[in-house]
Amino acid sequence: MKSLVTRFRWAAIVGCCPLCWAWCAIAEGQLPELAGFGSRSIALGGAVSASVEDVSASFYNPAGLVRDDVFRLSVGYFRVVPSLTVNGRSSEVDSFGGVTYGLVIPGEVAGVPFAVGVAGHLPDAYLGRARTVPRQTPRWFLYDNRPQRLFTAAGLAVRPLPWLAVGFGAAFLASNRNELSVRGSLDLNQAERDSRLEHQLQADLGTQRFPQGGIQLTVNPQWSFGLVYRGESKVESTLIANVDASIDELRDSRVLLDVESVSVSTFVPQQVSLGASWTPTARWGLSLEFTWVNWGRFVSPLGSIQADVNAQLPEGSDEFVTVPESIPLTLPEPADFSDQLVPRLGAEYKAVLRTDYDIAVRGGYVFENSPAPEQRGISNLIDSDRHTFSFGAGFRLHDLRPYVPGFLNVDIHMTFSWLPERINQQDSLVGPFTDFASQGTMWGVGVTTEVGFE
Amino acid sequence: MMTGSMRFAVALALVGGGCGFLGGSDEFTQPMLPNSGVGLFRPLEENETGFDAPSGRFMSLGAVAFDGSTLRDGVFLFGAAALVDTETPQDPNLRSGEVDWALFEPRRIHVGTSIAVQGYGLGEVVFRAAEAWEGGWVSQPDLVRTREGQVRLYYAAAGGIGVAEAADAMGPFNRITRAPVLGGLPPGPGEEPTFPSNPSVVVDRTGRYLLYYEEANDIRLAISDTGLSFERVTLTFLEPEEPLEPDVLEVAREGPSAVLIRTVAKREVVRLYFESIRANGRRYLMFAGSDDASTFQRSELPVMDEPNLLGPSATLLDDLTTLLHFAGTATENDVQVRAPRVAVFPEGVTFTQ
Repeated sequence: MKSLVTRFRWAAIVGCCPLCWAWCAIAEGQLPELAGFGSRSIALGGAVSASVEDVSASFYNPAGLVRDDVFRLSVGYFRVVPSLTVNGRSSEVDSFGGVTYGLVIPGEVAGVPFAVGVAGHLPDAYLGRARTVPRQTPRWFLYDNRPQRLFTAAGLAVRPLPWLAVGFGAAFLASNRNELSVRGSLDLNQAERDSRLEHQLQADLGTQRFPQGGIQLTVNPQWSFGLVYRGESKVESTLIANVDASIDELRDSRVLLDVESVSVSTFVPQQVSLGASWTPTARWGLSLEFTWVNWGRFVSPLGSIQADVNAQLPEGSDEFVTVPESIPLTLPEPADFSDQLVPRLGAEYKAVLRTDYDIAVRGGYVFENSPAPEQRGISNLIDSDRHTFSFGAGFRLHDLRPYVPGFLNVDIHMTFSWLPERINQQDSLVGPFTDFASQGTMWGVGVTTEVGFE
Repeated sequence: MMTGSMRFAVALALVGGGCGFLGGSDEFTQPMLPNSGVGLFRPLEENETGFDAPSGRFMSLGAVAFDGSTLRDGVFLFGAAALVDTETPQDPNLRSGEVDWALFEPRRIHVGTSIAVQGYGLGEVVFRAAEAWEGGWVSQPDLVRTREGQVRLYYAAAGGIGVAEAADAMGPFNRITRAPVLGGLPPGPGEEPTFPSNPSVVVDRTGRYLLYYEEANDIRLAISDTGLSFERVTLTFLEPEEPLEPDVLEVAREGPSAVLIRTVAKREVVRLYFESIRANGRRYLMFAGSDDASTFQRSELPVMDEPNLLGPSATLLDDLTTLLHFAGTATENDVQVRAPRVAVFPEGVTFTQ
């Protein structure tokens, strides 16, 4: 009769196959700021800067990459389903999920341990996505396009002293630039049927980088502290339209219109996290963390629009065709966002502690007050406070021999986020929208598998 | 027991099958958002009105002049009169779009018979003049439901605005008072008397009746606790930063139609649709909003793309959709009769038969 461990080893290896399947499953990208990274860290409410040591350290605290001397390989899958409403009607914000991956490679130079880590999210449907909506259209700007983006982080950590780990790295976000050209002839009476216009769209996908760094202090086996800084990042989206058209009804007419719209499609604020981890017993682990998020520097996604028009019209047509001499430059309004101070709580209990395997249960809570002011009509960037409750469990197989000289972790998590109702009263009674109430919930699930080679 | 090859085959099958889901994406759909009713309204199509006629036409009246309408509880009432004098030319001093009622039979209020989802036929007369102060005609109906559940019909007549009541919108309507609920003001020295017309009534959450009407080339407001006796109060329009046709003087505001909504911010907003008449003879259907019933912010642009539209009558179908009945200019035997039309906002809303 095979031992329980042997059965678990095979189940674990086969269990990786569904994860590979999930790699190809329907998924869209996510950002760690919204949904977290790694099932264990997510289940602990993200309060892990002081104690993280798996591949998610590339995001939470690069110093954690060198916390132990283990080569780690990880793959995971997440999905978050928002249910966000405006005045009781679904805002139809897409669900987002993604495959995460990570790698930690330890080493030593001159007796000083170091480690290199790489981690990222691979979206399925979109490597990046930009949507343009009218300025005053209410939109859940944090949850609409932000998750739909390729994300990668790389880090390097060293442990010059047994109790001190220092790490730094960079994260990468996809950015896009679009250029649209339209030319041809326009029929004013039967525009849709008799116009002959051709267009050309050129889209360039690039990357934006922002730095991050952190330290971990392991004061004693029970207490650890972490300090992390993540830099600011902006992803600009540029839309250029060049229209070169003639009007069928006006002989020898020609209209040249050049429009350039520049907007910040993704803004990641700089932030500083300070956390503590307490492990009073072999079974219990508690963590607390505060993160200051500098939303005060938020750049509104409502961009600037510059338009130049030049029309050549036949004599006498100015009686019924008016061409503006100039089109005023449209500038973005200040967003007036406020900084956040985000508290995070995490708790872990090892329900089963054996020499061959462990089973842990986890829970966490995060409160994120909304940085957005009440939206009164100039812009309508919908947001509410967010309470996130997380739960999870982890299974660790300590010894995978004879297959691999190492261990296996399989972690699962579930999150529930509640966004309480928020009323936005419009200043203008003749704008396109009336007062609205925004609220919602979000459910998330995920699994992460990690193999460690000792 | 599975061999190594079998394990590999199973794993490969799982990966290969899973890759079949690669590339899924969601279509971008624009959700319905809470709009303010400001427009731009879309004239209904033939398949929505059941009439083979230019956009928005929903009734075929022939040589009949259309004079205001109201839609309540699925019942469509409108004022109308048939052309009877085809010999006398119409008054040349009338503004563009105005009807020379002297050429028509006395106006009466009709009910529209439903022909299509948003199409009506000329139905029977449900209310006609009976009191001396009415001057032989009644028109420009407006229906409102009272807190007690009755349906009140406010109407215009020669001597002002009157009211009748019924159990439901189909009638029969019985006059509540034998005098107008709002009569004309005493004229000043050398002035012609003016009388209120084009009533539009809404009831606010405190039970006050807010009567918006037209008098002396402007839109005005009167308030009542009972809806039976009104007191005039000041109404103010705040001009937008960039008004329509700033170089052309606005000479009159007429034909008010008010709807009242209660927003999630727990305030009541009166949405007012009306005609703006310019010195160059053009008319535009405009929009204004107020959260105190008497001071209105005006929109910069008309609610309809085309000019020379009259007599708006707005109906809230739900908290997202507004139906607007109005009239376009039309002639019959060279006499202005007005053609009833209908439009909807937002434009993505459609009506199927």
